[in-house]
Amino acid sequence: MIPIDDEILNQYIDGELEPSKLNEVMEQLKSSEADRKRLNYLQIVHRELGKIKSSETSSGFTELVMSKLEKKFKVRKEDKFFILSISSIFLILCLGIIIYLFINIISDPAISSSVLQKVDFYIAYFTKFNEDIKEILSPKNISIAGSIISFGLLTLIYFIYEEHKFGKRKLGNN
Amino acid sequence: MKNLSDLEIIDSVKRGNHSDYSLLVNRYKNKAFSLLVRMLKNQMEAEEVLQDCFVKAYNSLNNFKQQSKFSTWFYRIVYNTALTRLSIKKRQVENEMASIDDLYFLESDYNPEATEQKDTSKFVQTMIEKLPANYAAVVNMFYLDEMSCEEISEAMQTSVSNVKVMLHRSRNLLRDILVKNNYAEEIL
Repeated sequence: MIPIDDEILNQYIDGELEPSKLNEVMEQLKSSEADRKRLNYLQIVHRELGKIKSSETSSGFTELVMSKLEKKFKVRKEDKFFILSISSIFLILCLGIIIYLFINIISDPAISSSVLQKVDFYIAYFTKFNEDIKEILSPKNISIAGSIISFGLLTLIYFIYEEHKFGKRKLGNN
Repeated sequence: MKNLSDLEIIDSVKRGNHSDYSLLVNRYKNKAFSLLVRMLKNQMEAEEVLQDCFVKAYNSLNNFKQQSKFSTWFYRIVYNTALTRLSIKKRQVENEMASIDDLYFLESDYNPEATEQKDTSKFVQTMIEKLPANYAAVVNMFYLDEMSCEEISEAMQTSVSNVKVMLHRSRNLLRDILVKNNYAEEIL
């Protein structure tokens, strides 16, 4: 005879008892009316729990979730578009500066277009470019350039922040 | 489309067919809703949290490594979100994680005279909704979602033995209440 506690009864219901123990428990259940009753009660609970129904969400729940997600995609797309347009402007500006420097170098009378002077041309080109860069990076200009870049960056950050805030608010409202 | 497996739907969503996500929403909304209702004890709040869970799951789809079932992964999100909501609200947190001795407060919580007919199924349903969040979650996942103890332990990020203990305790408790209110005698 083994004492049958609730744990063993639960394991019996779940079919988790090892064969040797299962036989012992079955013998015990045959001989003990009280244990059988306890098992029956537990089996009732097990059976009734198996009948529990799922609750249902309100109608239109799926559409609500999908519209929430749809709005999120839209905000993301807008964000992407905004970053892309700012980057494009920045790239165009950089390209403009490079073209401007290039034209300056080309139009310099000191640089001849003869074939023999082609090597000189490239050397002169890079030397001039180097000098221009040096000039731009001179202590006087660097502060101006720094200010302009800082201003540009601050403006960019401000717009990104505003856009992000707007996107968040938009999501929140939905 | 409705016969697609969860993984096929996820692949489709990842390929850019965002609208296919609605198939997953339709597939899991009611079961996850039942879990949330039983944990949060509030239908409106449960629906609100469930919306967040689906959005969270969508945003994290790339993190789903397909090592477990989508349902297990999704239930983990649902369970954790519900726990976070409960802790934010500080709603009887101590009771929710209480020991089994504390669960017996339920016995006095049910008034059999309030029910005209002795409907055992209804009674059990009512009592599950009164179980603490983690116990209700285990019962819901085991019986309604037919998840194994291993899957439940993965969803709840706890040990399998802990899940079994919670399941057995819930059963024992419900049995004791059933017996106390003479429901079991009638069925027998």
